Amino acid sequence: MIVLNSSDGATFEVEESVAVQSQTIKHMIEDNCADTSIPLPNVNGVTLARVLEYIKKHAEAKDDEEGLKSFDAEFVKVDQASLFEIILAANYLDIKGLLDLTCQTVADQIKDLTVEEVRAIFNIMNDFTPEEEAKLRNDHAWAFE
Amino acid sequence: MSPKKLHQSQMPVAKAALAPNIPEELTVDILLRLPPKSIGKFRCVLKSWRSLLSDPLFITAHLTLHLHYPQKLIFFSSSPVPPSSRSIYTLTFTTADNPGSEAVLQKLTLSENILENTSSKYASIVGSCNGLVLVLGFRMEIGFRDTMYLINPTTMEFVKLPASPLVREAVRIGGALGYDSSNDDYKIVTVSCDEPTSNETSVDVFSLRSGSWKRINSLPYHLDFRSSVFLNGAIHWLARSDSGDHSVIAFDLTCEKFNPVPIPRGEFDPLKLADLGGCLAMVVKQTFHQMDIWMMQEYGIGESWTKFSVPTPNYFYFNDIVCLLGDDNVVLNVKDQKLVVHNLTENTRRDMVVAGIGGHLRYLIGFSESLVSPIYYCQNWRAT
Repeated sequence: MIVLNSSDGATFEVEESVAVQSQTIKHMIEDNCADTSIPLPNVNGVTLARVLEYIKKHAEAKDDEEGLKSFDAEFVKVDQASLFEIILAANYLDIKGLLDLTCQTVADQIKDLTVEEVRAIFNIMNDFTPEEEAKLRNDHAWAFE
Repeated sequence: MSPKKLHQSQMPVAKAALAPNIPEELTVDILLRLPPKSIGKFRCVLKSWRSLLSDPLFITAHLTLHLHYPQKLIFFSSSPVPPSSRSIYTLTFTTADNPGSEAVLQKLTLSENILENTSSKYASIVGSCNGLVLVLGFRMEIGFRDTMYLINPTTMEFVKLPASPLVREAVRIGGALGYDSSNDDYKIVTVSCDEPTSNETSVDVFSLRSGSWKRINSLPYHLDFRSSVFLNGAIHWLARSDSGDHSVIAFDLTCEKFNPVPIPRGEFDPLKLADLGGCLAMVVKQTFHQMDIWMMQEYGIGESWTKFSVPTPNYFYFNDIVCLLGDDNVVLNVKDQKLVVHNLTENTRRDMVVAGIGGHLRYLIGFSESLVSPIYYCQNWRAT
């Protein structure tokens, strides 16, 4: 069993065979950095719990394609802030399947949004002048139909 | 432009930062997954997004991620109401596995009326590649020049390309479009036959990046230039030697050389080549009741040619095979008047009359959506 410590002090136990779905953890184990426990200062407890839920399910139900598909669909039904936290965690922990799933989910959620809504989600301040933006929208009329 | 209705938990909060700072490589990962229209729209979000989303490297990566069987068709037709001039139309199939749902028809309105300028009687769509479509205006009469337009029907961008100075006037000509991945260049290959003075076929190649034409040595056989397929870095044609032997010839766009492609054994008269889901296909026979199609499942392996038959009940005329739709549907163009989507697994079909069209569906081909910019590839030689 491997012990993981989240940034806010929560402790989680997980089987090594499951934990190595994270390439980051796998390398730490291989480099013998995992004697007692592995500190994960970039992931908070709530997010780490969710990530572990994902990798546990994907380890135990490995061949059940249909089951995993419906699990994944339910798994991403979280608020957007949590979704971004999971993306950052999946990136840091290098879990490709989870990163693909969450990035695709965000892509599907934003693809039909307006420009203003996307700015809000990514916390972006518009740096075009009104004239520049108007011209750009005009040049891209095909994208706004 | 109406905002999509977001689920309550996903509503962006205007003031607070909803998302912690996402590193750029993750933002890029997310953006690469978007369809072309969303990417065009989001170029307006921020200056750095505009640069990123217009970067040729991003566009190429996007193309690689989204390369799949054509989901759209493009063709010429005329409108049902006078003045019924010819225009270019696109047809988007909604979901392939939703029988009965109609396709969406759209007239392509470019900033220049291409068909008027090409003496539209003689213009045709000759090929598509990576989301680009080539329109070629044939010179069938003395005094007309060839014209070529390379269009991206998704972004509405197009360029007019210089005619080949190497082809004499009033010579029959066909064309094809392909991508040279080694040089990141799009190439147009025209095939002309200077009958009756010569039996030979001449092949000329135009490179988009260099803006120049080059003649490849004349070939000692006839290429059937009405039927070309770009696949695996090469343009393929049906060919016939003087003795009447059939073959398939591939013109590799990187080394610009011809290579033969093994064809199935047996006696048959090939009618047409097609690209079915990335496999080279050859239509060999058509009767009132069925169409025989050979598909090369593994490119270059002669033994991998597999024959299958598509029933074509009561279709009197040649069914043009257009493209694959989804995994197992074949789109047929019946007499240029209606489309039939035939499901290969279940052997069922649905007819699709294209409403909103007055005339025939001419030069119908499939294409996929992409952001590839013809102007970008011509920038070294083209006056802006």
